Amino acid sequence: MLNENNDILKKLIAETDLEKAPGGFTAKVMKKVRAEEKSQSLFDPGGFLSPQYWLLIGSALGIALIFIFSFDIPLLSWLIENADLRNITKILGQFLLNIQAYITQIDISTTSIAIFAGIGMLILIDRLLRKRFAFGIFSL
Amino acid sequence: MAFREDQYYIERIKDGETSAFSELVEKHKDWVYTIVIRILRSHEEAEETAQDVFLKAYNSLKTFQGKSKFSTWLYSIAYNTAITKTRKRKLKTSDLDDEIIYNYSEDEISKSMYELSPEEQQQSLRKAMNDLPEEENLLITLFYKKENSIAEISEITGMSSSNVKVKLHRIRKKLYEKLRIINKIENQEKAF
Repeated sequence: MLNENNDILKKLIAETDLEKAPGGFTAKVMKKVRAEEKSQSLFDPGGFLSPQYWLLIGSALGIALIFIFSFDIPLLSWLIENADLRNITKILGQFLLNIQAYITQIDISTTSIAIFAGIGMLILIDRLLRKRFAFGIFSL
Repeated sequence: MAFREDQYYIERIKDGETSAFSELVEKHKDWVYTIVIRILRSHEEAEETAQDVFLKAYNSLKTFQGKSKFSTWLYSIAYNTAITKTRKRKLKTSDLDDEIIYNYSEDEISKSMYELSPEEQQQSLRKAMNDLPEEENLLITLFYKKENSIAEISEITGMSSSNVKVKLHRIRKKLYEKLRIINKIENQEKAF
């Protein structure tokens, strides 16, 4: 279909000059790349811990949250109220008690909390798997 | 500046050597800029977009599996980014009637082109190419200047190979017609 023999178009187009990227282009790109890298290392969980560790931490945190907020734990309340703890720990304890009281007040069932925690975990796992096995339009 | 194979830089970047990416930028910046400006036709927009193209490429580099050439992969990012930018504004459409396209002899136009000086030839070509719709301008540039194969152009643009072939054929015809008109006007101007 395309007769390229002695084609003046081919010859002329081949001789045309390429558009030149403006001066300092590479430096500007690298500046953006480094800024992006910096922000990724701050917010990306993979920046300083491997995904497996984050999965483990996330699971532990999820289980702990379900445990703390779903059940009335007398020992935990007693420890926070009676133990001779430092001020900062007391504030933290009070904060936890407040959240617990709030959760009890809104009368959320253990099943609902478990469902929310489960959804959270699934999102976390999805994110980790997507990062690990990323296939997209650019994975040619 | 002599550059190594793209894969050499890619491996270094994947090993955590970010600075190696600057070599890839340096190597491909003019082509990426050319692709983007052919579509956007604005230097200000093209610079920003070309920078974004490299940033996207850097962020997606870990997913690049080397099944195609790095340049083809990079140009497809450039093409898609530029096209996305133009979605809001209407792309220039073809204004030449297909029936007119076939009413001339290519040899006749080639002959008239060879009668011009090299500078005049380039000037005529520039005028004719600037008159082409953005996408057509890019396709013919990739085919004749970059010497990309039809399969590669198909990968870059996402068009089917047969569509690329047909389009290239039509663009060539269209360019010849535009050159014929330009040459005719110039010859008339010279005569006066």
